[in-house]
Amino acid sequence: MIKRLLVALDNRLNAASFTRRTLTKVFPDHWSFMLGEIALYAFLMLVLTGVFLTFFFDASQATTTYNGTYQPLNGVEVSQAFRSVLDISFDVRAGLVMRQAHHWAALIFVAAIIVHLCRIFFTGAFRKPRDINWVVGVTLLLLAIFNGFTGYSLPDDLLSGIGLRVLYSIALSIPLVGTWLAYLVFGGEFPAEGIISRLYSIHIMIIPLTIGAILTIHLALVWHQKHAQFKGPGRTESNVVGSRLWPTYAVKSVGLFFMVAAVIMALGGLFQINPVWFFGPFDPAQVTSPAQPDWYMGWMEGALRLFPPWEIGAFDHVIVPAPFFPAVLLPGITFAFLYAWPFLEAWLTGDHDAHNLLDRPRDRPIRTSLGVATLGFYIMLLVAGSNDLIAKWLLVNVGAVTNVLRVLLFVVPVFAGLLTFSLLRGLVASGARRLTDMPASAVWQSWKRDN
Amino acid sequence: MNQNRATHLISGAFVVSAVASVSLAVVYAVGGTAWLEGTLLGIALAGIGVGLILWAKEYLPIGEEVQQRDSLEPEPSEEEEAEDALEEGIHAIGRRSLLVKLGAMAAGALGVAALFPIRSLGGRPGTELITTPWYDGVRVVDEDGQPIAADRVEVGQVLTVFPEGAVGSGDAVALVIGLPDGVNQPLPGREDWSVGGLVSYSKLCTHVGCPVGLYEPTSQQLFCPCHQSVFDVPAGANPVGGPAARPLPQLPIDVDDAGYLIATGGFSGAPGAGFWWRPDDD
Amino acid sequence: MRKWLLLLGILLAGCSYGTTSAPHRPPSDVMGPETRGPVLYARDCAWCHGSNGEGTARGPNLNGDLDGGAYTHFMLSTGRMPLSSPTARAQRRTAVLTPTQIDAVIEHVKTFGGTGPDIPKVEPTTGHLGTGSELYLSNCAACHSATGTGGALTSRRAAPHLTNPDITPVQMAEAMLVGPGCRNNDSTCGFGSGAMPNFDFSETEVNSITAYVSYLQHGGDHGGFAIGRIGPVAEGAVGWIIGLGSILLIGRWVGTRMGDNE
Repeated sequence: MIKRLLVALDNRLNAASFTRRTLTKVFPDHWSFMLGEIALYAFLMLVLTGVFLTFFFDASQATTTYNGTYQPLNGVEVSQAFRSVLDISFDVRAGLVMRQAHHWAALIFVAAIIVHLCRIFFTGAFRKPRDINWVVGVTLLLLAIFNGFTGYSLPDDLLSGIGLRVLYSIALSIPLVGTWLAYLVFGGEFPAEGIISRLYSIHIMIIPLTIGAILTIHLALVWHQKHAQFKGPGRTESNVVGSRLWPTYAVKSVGLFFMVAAVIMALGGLFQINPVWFFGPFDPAQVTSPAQPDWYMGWMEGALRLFPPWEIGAFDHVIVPAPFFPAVLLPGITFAFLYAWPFLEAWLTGDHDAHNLLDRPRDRPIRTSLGVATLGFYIMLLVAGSNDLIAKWLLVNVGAVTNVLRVLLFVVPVFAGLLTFSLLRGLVASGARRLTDMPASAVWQSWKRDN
Repeated sequence: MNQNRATHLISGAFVVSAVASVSLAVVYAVGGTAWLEGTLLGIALAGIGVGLILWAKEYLPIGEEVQQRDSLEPEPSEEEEAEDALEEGIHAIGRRSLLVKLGAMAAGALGVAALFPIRSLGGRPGTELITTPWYDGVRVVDEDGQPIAADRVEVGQVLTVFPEGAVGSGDAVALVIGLPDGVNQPLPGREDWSVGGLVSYSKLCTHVGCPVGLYEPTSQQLFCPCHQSVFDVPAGANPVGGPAARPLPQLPIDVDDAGYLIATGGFSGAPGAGFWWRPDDD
Repeated sequence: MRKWLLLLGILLAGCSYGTTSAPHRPPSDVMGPETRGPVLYARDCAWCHGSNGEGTARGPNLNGDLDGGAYTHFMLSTGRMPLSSPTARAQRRTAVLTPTQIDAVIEHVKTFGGTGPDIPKVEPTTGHLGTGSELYLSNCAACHSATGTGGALTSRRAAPHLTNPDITPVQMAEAMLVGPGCRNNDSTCGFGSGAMPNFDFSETEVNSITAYVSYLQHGGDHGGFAIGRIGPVAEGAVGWIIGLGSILLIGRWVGTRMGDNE
């Protein structure tokens, strides 16, 4: 049957040669090469569960009196958006599983992108000719974070409404253009009518379509440039050693999709996420504590919490409000560095050659240490996003936690970077295969030899 | 792995998946429970996944297939040919240079015109960023719109308030706080902004605009749960901790003839987060 | 049979006294309830609050506008008082005194002439959940969290979580009336200077709020494990560790081959 179909298509498209090349395409085998696929499959699950949710979600902010299954909010004035999310959670059969799975898939999607990015970084897979695809990938990360935030805000509940107010204030903080930007995005002074329906268009149409298009480019480039591979016997810069797409790789990959879907759906049923019925509808006068955004915005939240109360004022005006530095400048610098890294590294090392063989992290101790230090910095920011919870659990002063974290924000990266550098030198010097096989003295000896 | 055993495992996985799917249908028909639906969906999906992966690992060729990479750099001759083709076209078009310029102008003008619909997305940011519905003489009301008798707020109490006629307003929301006698240290020029022990401040944090909802009578401090800014209420709600850089704007209040709280003016500054042309009036 | 019951009763009584770590406890059968109050007060309270409730440098007075029954009942029935030592932090724990003993102490404290609020009567069953949730979100959620898990305050304090089903509606109502949370070394602590503000709710409002808090204690987690109800922090941890973690393990399994040692 399939054969007949292929023949029929071939007679019309002359597709035989393309089909053969596709089916026999060789992919190198390594488990870490599947991290990007995990992100891809999480995205697929987002689309599948998301489409289901669109059938029931109502983006209107018109108020109505809730009168549904969830007793504790009966008789409460809510927006249609919030009402429809309650309906999805309590009245649509399997609605709650789908809603929760959608949210879990979003958390896993961004997490998988980050882990994928780390693999690319630490193995030097971003070097020419794949520098171009690194740029495409960083764009995908940016879009994923944006779309996560827009989706998080749609239920029009108290917690996400506070998040929107924070975003509005961040936009407002940009000198010269901030007030215009905030007004154009939100349609006027917060809370302006209609922001939910704007976010809805962005969340289900503009960004997902853009992600779909850029994702296609991302995959096409992998396809065209062929996958990089680790060094090994028989593996050179000019060949690819591994398994064919058909049947081995395809069956494995489809299997992986089912596993990713299984984990997401199981989480959706077993772990409660974003219980908006507790938070209640958004009200500009109300607030709940603790108030954090989803984890992929957590580093920015941490930066907002740690940054000291510094503002630049002049001519009796504020000019640069404090949130500008942690919430606009820092993310700007972060993504500028991410985009620029392949070119920056080529410029710093003078290595402008194309590379198809990957580095092991130990082969490039400086790059690896810099990467670990950078991760340490952002993980500390993420931790700082929970400073109130840390203070509550340890029963210490929030201000003290903030001050300690302000110091750790710089101490931890330096320490982590130096530790990584020492361990990698010891690893190379001792010739051990793994870190766990390395004698502890190797680190010490590698330093001693230098002096 | 023993081949026989692998076959059994794979078929087992597929059968488990099918059973889970049937159970899912039953659970759904009966009425559904979130945790059961999630678990069964997970098992149904994982069964197929495990089966396929085992199948690939055990029976499909995993090998040292070798494929040559095509060069990603073009041959010099091809590069030249491409360049020639491009230049030929440019030359053909460029011959009419006036038309090129006019065409570019028309496209540019269309591009600018196309930007105008963006302007419809939001009005011009104006004085409403600084002004609020508070004015001299407006009654202070609670969240239900009820006027507030001056003796209603006692020491240690805090009440969320709005100007009459603007309940729920996003920028006018304020707090009335009852301070113990003699604690308040009014800022110069604001000596008559409080009435009895009552003071009123904007409820929006000057950092990024979260409602400063936590009031601790012990320390007479307001605390923002979003980014942990702390404001010292008796000292003009000055920020004493966290990332906020400016005090909460104060609302001057008094009592009218009927004994209800009124405002005697607007906030001392623009409420909420800062922006670049916000007057630094605190 | 009656003998056995009697024996059981004695045993139980012994147990309940055994749990209090008080020295020199007078045997219960020689003291009537009317005299037990002063004795218990003298033993457990007077050191800090003064022998006539006048207060000392270690604790607030009980003869002013702070106490009228509700405050003492809240502190004793939630186990915050008596403190194990005058410097200990007053935190919720199993009540040290039995309900009868608590009543006796309250009766004695009332003789000091405090003018604060008396123990309120609360009927959560007559409350309206919708009204309760609205009032809770406006007035309580900022500190105690919309989910009732509590949250950090300034200066080494935290608003306690309310999801513990041992917290009774009467205790909730008392907390709203008196605004507890004075520093225990603060002799000036009076009405309206606890860590929690006090609130002027009507009886029906109190019934509705307590009905909603009781709901938070007993239900509301419709989506599976509540993972602490603390929101995105726990969700992020679960997403990374359980979600992506298990997928990565699966990915490793998919990617390894027989005899593959990479």
